[in-house]
Amino acid sequence: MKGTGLMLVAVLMTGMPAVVSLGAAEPLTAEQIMSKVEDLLWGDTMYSRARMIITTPDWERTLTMDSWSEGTRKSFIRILEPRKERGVTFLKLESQMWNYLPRIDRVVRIPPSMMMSSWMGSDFTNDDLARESSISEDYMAELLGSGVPVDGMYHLSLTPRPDVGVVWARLEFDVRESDLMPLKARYYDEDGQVVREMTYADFKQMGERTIPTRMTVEPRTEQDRGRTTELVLEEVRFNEKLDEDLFTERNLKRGMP
Amino acid sequence: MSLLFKIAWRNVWRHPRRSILTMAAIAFAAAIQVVMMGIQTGSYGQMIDNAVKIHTGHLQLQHPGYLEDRKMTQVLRDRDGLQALLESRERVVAVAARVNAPALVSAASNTFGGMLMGVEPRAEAAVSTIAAKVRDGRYLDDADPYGALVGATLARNLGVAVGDEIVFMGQGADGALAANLLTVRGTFTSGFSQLDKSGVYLPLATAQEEFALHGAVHEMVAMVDDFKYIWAVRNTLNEAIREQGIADVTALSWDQITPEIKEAIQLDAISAYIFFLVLLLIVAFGILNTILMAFFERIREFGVMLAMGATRRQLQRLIYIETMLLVFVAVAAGAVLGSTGSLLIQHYGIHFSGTDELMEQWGMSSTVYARYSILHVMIASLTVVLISSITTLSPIMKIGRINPVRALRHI
Repeated sequence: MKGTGLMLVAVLMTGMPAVVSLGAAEPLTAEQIMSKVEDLLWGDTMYSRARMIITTPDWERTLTMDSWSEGTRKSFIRILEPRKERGVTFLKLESQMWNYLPRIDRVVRIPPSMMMSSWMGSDFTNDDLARESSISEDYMAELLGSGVPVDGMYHLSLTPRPDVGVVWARLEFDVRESDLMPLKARYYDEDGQVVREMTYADFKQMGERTIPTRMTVEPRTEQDRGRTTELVLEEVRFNEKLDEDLFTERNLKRGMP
Repeated sequence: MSLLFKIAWRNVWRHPRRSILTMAAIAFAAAIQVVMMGIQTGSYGQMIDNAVKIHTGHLQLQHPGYLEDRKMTQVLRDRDGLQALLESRERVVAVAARVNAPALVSAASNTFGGMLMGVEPRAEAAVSTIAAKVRDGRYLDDADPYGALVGATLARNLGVAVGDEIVFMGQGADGALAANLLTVRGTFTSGFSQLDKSGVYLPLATAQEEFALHGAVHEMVAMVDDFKYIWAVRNTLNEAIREQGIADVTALSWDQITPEIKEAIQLDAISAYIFFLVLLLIVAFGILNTILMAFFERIREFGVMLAMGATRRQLQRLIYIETMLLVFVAVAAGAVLGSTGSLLIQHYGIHFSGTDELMEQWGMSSTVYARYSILHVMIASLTVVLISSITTLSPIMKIGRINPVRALRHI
């Protein structure tokens, strides 16, 4: 899930997926950009293998993982490395999340109150992985600067829809005009402060699509100064048929598709 | 002046009953203030002492950034050296080491955020009262490395009892996943809801191993023999740390670590001050009443004096001196009375029966002891003298307006 999940997350968080080159003649609205992107992503299944490099002032570690996802609703992640954590799995169904610990053979349910906690010590949160709905369901998008791309980039601002419980007070995205690739996302808190930034890079052809294969999260809070988490997608396959049993609690222990 | 003084003294004793009544009112006001302040100070002292003994301790050594950031990696590495440093201090009577690790705590399908605290069972019992707060089951035991003592609220939320298994999942100091099973050996109710709702105690060595701390700790807790020396000991510790060039260690007193205990008490103190203010107002009106009554009784007398050639100014001074004579005698009596009361309550205490449970929640016993201080006597005396002086202004101003002819006919 991480791979996939994260990829999805990346994409969804951005609200501005990776994909697509739209040959639009008319100027695109923010909503259009997002919905096209989401149309493309939703209903897709995705497999990925990814490497996550977590850097802090005190330590650095690298995780590798396989992940599978179906839309944004279901995902499954399996840790491959480090060896000590091999076989740790995560299952996300809708807004629920479970974590299997092979060393003690126990499943831990991650409660909703823990959604903003760090995922495996990274700068991604559980919420990043377990988002149950899409950006367009939660946020209203708006093009900044009267919709005219500046320096070849669209600038989008996303504010939460009323009555939606969301984590961020506002999101901002820089999106490349030529192929609608997200370049940067900024996450704001209620005080209008940037809490973290995500940078998208290394756009590569993966199967039938071009996607950013390197995503870097940098917290901007004083407390997390000096931390970064980098997610590198090494292998991605879209639209593979996935076994229905994949997204079940039973499969947590088996840990295989 | 000395003539006025003599007259004033005679006047005071011309109506002994009236004077004694006035003095009694004033003395009582002063005495009650002294006693109240003593009880208040005493109960706050008890509350603080009991509250810090639950977990915080009097003093702690920590990594300088730990208080704010609470990072796993902000550790004290030289645990033995710091233990020796603490034990070498005068007045330090108990020392214990701890590690703290936030973690998810889970049982069956319930998961809650918890705080794992690795402690040395025997040493911990000397620095905190947690061993005495065990509700079900038993306290920790070094011989049972994966036996845990779980907050009663957390245990209830998780749906576990003594003998059940819980899973913890957190992150080690090296960033790696730290997860394992613990067996609930006991539950505790500390009186601190946060601790009862998230706290899990386990043996120190187990926590150090699980969270990759390699012998490092987060807190060295110390108790001193008398509450009032805490800050002095903290300062000498910080001096020693500086002199010996020990890096990344700072000594903190309980009020720096848990300012909320002090804040809660300050909040309570505000309501107590309001109570005192109301009490003072009532006292002021009482004194005003006695003084005015005395004044009206004596209007005819003042008329005679004016008719005989005394000036209004002399009369005003006379009244003032009379009042002050009363007040000083009364305040002296009140101070003696109040001090006696306060000292008695300091020695014997007052038992509030039927409040045991409520008081226990606040970490205090239901017997409250006063803490007497000469400062209370000074404050009480000053306020009463001040209030009496202000109150005397009323009759003094009235004398300025007395018409001698009409005053002579006044009955």
